[in-house]
Amino acid sequence: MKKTINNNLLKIIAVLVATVSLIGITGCGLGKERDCAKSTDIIENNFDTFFAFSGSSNTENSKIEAQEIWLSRLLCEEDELILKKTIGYDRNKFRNWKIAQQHFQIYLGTKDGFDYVYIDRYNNALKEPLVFKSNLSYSFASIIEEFERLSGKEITQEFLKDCNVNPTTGEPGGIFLDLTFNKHGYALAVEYYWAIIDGQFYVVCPALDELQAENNA
Amino acid sequence: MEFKSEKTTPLLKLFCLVIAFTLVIFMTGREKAYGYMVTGKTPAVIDTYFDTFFAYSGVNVDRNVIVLIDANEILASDLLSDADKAIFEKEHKAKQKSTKRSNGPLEYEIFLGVKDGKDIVYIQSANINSGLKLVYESNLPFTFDSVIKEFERLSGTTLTQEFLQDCERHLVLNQPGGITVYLVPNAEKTKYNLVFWSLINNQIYITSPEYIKAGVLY
Repeated sequence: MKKTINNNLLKIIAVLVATVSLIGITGCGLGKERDCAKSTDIIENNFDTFFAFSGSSNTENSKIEAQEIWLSRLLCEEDELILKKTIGYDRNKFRNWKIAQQHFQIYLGTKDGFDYVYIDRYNNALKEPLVFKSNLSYSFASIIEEFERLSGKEITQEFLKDCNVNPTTGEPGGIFLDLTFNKHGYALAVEYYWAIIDGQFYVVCPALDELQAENNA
Repeated sequence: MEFKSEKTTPLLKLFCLVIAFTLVIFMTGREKAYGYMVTGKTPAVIDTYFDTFFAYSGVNVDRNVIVLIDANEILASDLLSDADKAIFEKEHKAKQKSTKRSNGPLEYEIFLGVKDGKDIVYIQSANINSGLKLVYESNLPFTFDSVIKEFERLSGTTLTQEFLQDCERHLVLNQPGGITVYLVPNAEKTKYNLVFWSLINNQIYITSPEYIKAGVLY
């Protein structure tokens, strides 16, 4: 009887060791990613008109980290807290930096007259994607108009929703959102938008003048 | 129920130790934080290695916001000739082997400029104590001057050496002045193309002779 209990106990411990080791090796799925393309389904199901996408880029520096989202101006403070809570980020939590560095995909578009920010983990791992009202001081339509002014071309929904990946750039069509930290490090992630329109790069950074004026002041 | 026996107690202790060890590895993460000593775009490097300067890569040196270039990206680009790639790979592997324990994966900063009429690629490792500094002739199918001219055409502004050598990082965008170069992979990640970026008169301009050649631009 004793021997059986001991053998069973050893088996349980062995299984536990194997499980914990497996979790340790895979890192609980954190950092495990697969390439996620700009999805027509997400665009069609969530927006009346589409604006910009972020997250499919195959360059490391263009990937959007969780902390970049809550350090940007995309969401209001309340929504930032919801995002943090949903992904399990807590400032005092051990390994919180690992959670803060998870990569996300962002879709920006308009529904029922409101500008929305649709956020999902890079590997579509959130149980439910998070959708927030934009907290930006400008409308998405105003950025599209700026691209039209710069390029002299009318920007259609067909162009903005284009999901075909260009083999040379590795990116789909349309407008891209990128976030970059300003000189003060983790103080603020500045949003800017870029697109290739008729064979020419265009970049719009609405924060440039605004933040520069703040810094100068 | 009695779980303990003289035979199994050492085994249990061993298993407990294994569990504790595995948990420690798991909790601390398997990634080791290695030291980088990114010099950033500095006049010292520019003045030492170039007559005229063109572009820099290795930006955003604030804390861990570092965009460095790894050896594979350099090897999968057209920056170096095949012969120079072989030399670079050999140097990289030798240094990587000798310093891996203290340095982790070697990553690089790149400076592009002209010396004695030739387009030069200066590559330096950003890892503490590795001290790898390598100079090669450019193998790119375009001249550095042609890219400067393209930026001048796009912006309608003459780009001076003062502008190109500017090392001061922008307050909002955190990029040094002048032209910044990024190595961007194609869809299959088999080839890295050079994309040049510059903030001129408060407007961002981007160009890439390789994208132009591939028909992405123009």
